[in-house]
Amino acid sequence: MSEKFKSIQHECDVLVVGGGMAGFFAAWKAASMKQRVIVVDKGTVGRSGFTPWANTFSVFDEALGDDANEWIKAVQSKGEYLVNLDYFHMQISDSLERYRQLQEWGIVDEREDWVKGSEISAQKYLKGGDRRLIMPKVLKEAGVKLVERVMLTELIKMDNRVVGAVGFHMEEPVAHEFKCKTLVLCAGAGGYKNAGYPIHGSTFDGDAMAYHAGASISGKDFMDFHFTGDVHPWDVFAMEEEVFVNKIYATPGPIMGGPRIGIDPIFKVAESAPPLNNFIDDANHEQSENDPRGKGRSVLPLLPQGNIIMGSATGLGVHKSEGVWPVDNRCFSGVEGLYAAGDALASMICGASYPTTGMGLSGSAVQGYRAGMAAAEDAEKTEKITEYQENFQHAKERMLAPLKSEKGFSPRWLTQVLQSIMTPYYVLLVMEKSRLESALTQVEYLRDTIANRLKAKDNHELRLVHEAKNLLLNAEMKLRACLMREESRGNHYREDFPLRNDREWLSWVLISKGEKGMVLTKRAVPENWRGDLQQEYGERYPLSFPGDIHMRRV
Amino acid sequence: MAVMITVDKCIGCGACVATCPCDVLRIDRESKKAEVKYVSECQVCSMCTLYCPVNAIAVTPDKPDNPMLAYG
Repeated sequence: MSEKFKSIQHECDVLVVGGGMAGFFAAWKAASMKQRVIVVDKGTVGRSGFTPWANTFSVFDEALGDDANEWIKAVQSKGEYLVNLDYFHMQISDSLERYRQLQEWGIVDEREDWVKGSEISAQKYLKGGDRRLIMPKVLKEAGVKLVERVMLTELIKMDNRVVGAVGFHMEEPVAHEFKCKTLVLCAGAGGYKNAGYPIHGSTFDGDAMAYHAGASISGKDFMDFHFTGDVHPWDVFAMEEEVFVNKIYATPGPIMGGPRIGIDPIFKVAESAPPLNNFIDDANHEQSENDPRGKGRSVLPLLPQGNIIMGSATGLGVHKSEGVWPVDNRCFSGVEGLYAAGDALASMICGASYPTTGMGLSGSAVQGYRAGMAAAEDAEKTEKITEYQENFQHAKERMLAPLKSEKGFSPRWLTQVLQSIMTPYYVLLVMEKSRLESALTQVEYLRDTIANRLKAKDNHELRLVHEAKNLLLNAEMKLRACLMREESRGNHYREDFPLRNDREWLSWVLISKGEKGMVLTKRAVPENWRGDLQQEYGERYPLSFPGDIHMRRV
Repeated sequence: MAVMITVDKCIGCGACVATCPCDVLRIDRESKKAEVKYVSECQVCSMCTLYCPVNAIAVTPDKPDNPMLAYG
């Protein structure tokens, strides 16, 4: 089948991978700096990844009384002292400006008059100004070329610089070759495609491509998830039209105190069998009456039917705290030509735990803009691309190989097996050494025995093959990082190490590709970002884990 | 079946194909109408129903699970 594949060549200055909020701003900014920009997306721009479902955007606004020091203190406490304050400062300096841009384009703050159950259906209403359709329109008007329904599988390097990428179309027998001066990964995070949140298009593709290209990956030791209901677990939005027309609300920043968003019940599943429904008491911000942010929005606008199950949509990490490790404050990966933003960048603005709603989308906008600017400046200084067709040819052969296999395992089967290994609460949510090792043994078997023997009968299945391989790589990263962090902190709970260990673990875990597989290293948090180490345990860490109660004053 | 197309209503515009984040739908080459080709990948998000201009798609709140096999 692959013999019939045609190749299409694209050339640009800045290639942006992914058309969610981070990719949107990266592309727009680079184009505004007179660069030739292409956005390539596995789905369609504005309707892929996490962005179609976002409805909060955290904005720092001094005019409304926000205090930068209070935000920093709160995020450090909630993120348990693993917050990268350089990137967090970008939120403080840039988030209002990004929000205002989105307002001008009509991407946020519209549709005030849509009323649930009114005669105007959501569908008709959106014709007037659907944010998911405005995003590609704004980019096209800025001169950005969109290449949609094309999945990238490999970054192309030449002389230790990322100079392009290869991908294939979902339906047509066409391989796409992209030559660029710089590349911005905005391919989001991922999950294991289980029920609980509709983000099955996000499969850690950016992390996988960057890892193979030599970048370091971080934040795999912190888990996040979504909730769903036990009546229709797939239908997390309860089939409500409202979710589609929900506007994006401005929200304030993190505040001190309050429980972790939803994670506390999970730590107790082992002690107390489900149902455990007491989770919806976070995220209510204390605001003055004059503060307009988020007014009219309930904490959780829609609930699925039945008992609430926390910990669904497993595989997720903490927003903005998982992905390509930046070596500077310009979203640069350390591999020449390669930048990242949003959930594909381990900017660590949330540290070990998600501090408040709205930080995900806002972080993507802020970092996308910054990464687009850095990639454009780099592209301006970079010479025209030279010829290196051979590198493309080899990458294309690797990409299309599963189409040539007559025998092989199905990617759907691999994904299903992986789900059964990684999803149960006792693997990544309530963790313990022997259980993590047991899961890792199985993942290693899949890696060594199955991953390179997957077959695809058409392009759709070829996508599934590459996605399954990326999920598998990510599973290994998560298990290894979780085994390494022998303590509990934020969204990382080890039954066998239930206390925070400040002496050993005020560090991030970085994962890079070595000659014999993954190499994990610790990167210490700078001393001035560690908070007050003299504080008593219970004050420094107001949120408890089962097993650390003896550390707290009653 | 998680997704259903009312073929009589479908105008074959392809909006659903472009919308689906999971590549579930196709336009059938002969009938020129939308078809549910890869239902296993449906994530029951209902986004296709929103962007269909003629209300030809319905999504149910459940989908059948694939059986677990020794290999597949």
